[in-house]
Amino acid sequence: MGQLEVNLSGITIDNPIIPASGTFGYGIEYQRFYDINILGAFSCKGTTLNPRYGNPLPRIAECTSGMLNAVGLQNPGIDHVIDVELKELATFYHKKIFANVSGFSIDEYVQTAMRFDSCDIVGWIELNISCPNVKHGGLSFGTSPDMAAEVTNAVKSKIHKPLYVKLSPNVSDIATMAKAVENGGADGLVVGNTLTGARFDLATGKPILTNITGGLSGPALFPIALRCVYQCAKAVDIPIIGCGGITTAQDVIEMISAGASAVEVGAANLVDPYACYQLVQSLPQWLDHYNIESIQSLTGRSLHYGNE
Amino acid sequence: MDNCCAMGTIIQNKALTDSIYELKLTYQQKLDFIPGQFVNLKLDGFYLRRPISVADYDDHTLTLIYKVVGQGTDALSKYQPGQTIDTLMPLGNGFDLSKPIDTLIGGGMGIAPIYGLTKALKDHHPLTVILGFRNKDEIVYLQQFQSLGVKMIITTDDGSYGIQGNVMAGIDTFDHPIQTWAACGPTIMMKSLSQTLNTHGQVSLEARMGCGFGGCMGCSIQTTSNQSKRVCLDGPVFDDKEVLWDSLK
Ligand SMILES: Cc1cc2nc3c(=O)[nH]c(=O)nc-3n(C[C@H](O)[C@H](O)[C@H](O)COP(=O)(O)OP(=O)(O)OC[C@H]3O[C@@H](n4cnc5c(N)ncnc54)[C@H](O)[C@@H]3O)c2cc1C
Ligand SMILES: Cc1cc2nc3c(=O)[nH]c(=O)nc-3n(C[C@H](O)[C@H](O)[C@H](O)COP(=O)(O)O)c2cc1C
Ligand code: FES
Repeated sequence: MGQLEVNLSGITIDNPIIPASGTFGYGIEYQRFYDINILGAFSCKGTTLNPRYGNPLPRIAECTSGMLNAVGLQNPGIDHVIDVELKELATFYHKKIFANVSGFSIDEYVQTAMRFDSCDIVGWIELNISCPNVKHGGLSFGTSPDMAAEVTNAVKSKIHKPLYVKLSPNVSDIATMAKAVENGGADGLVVGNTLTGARFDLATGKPILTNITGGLSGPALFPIALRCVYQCAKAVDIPIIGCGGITTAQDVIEMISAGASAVEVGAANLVDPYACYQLVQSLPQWLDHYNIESIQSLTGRSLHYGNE
Repeated sequence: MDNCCAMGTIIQNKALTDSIYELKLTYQQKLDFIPGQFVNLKLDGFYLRRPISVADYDDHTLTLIYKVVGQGTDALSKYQPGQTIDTLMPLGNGFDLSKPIDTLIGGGMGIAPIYGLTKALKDHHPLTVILGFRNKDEIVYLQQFQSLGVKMIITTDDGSYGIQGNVMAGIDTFDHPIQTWAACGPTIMMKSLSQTLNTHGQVSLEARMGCGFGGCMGCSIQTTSNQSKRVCLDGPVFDDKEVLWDSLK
């Protein structure tokens, strides 16, 4: 395998850079900035069985080194995504995507995942059991090990493509969640989603977000995501995609050292639409700079330190 | 002009009032905008970009008018000539110039895109421009508008200049019905225009934005066609009858 190549559950990707769900739409908006075929893959917007408008505006707030979002899983629903968005994507994108699936019941997760499972362009199913922005949403699956294992198992038994489960950092013991999901049959993990936060208007005291709380992403999240990946990597044997606050090639190297096989990049794309393009371009020189032979050889380099 | 991130060099950042500034930036590449489009500025020390409407431009110079309302715009007001700003542009759809527009209405900072629109339309047909401000001290760009040679009506909430009242008071002075219009300003102003005038209008909306180019769904509004639309990509300019006004704050 080449210096940047990574194998994720049987599919080799050219590099470990994967734009994260909800920050890359269905790829179409970014093709105007660069040819997105240079990416390793990307994860599509969280898709549900039925269309959702999401939460009322404002849905976005800013904070030091990051942002909060309370989009609330706005998406046109699985039928529209398959018939319109993925069809358009296939006209210019020739790689695979992570199909990010959200739901409100086990049955809904299963049905949506099964629809994606029959799409050629989908390489992996990514189960979002960690969205903090919808009431009774996926997060209840993401904070209970039993429920997480149950939904993982229910989806896994009905699909053929590899199943990645995206965990929430909003738990006191993420390693237990990781183990539960691995036992439920997951082929890999994405670690992780946003951490819940809030902001208030100084003049009035009113919450900035109509939803009051929103998910924190961006560099402020990075050390937390590193800790989560490290703890999960110690606990499981399946591949982990590290996600949270990644902005630079050095961040990618650090995240992979902590136990990730590849990375997802979210908010950085929103601030700079060329963020992932630049990561793909700059990663080789930074690997050379640190005398790192390949991404594969880097995975988990930090894991033998400490006795967690 | 294709979407791009470009470095603009400040040639002027001038206070027009104690809180409103005119910013001029130059770019290496040739600029081209549709009136109503906006740019998204990356300011040092702030994570998200700040969206600002294009007020005017020529081949290599961009003119923005902004009001200091928070930490980002305050920081922007301290930028000096010679400093650079990473600019994402051009963003949004802009006003639909293929549709007739005879009356242009700007409220507060909403005058910025209305200036560019007036400039683009003035040679094609007679226009009336109504500008509403809070008071005399907040009036900006009056001379620039006047030099375009269009019919102007100015209103101030406190009557310290022009007609007293909001832009609706300006419309009441019309001796003919408004046929087609375009507006930018506070949501409440555009909502009452839309509900009072039953002729075709185009409105330019604002929303807090995560990206400004359609990537995050942070700015989606609900529309009367039951479809959601992104203010940053499908807007900021919408047909006034398309907007579900009661869903907006
Ligand atoms: C399409 C568009 C065009 C605009 N054109 C102009 C213009 O020409 N002149 C001008 O003075 N202002 C304009 N605005 C509003 C301007 O973007 C805000 O005033 C500015 O972002 C406030 O930043 P701040 O850091 O000073 O305020 P803060 O309140 O400290 O900002 C915190 C966060 O909220 C966002 N925010 C706060 N108020 C607004 C708002 N009204 N609209 C959007 N985001 C907001 C900021 O971008 C930032 O992410 C426009 C907004 C949009 C969406
Ligand atoms: C605007 C926005 C929307 C998001 N939507 C989703 C989503 O639909 N599904 C999902 O699994 N994660 C979603 N996320 C979370 C990101 O995929 C990512 O896990 C998180 O933002 C942390 O990474 P970052 O710090 O690089 O952004 C969203 C994040 C943002 C900022
Ligand atoms: S601000 Fe991101 S989609 Fe409009």
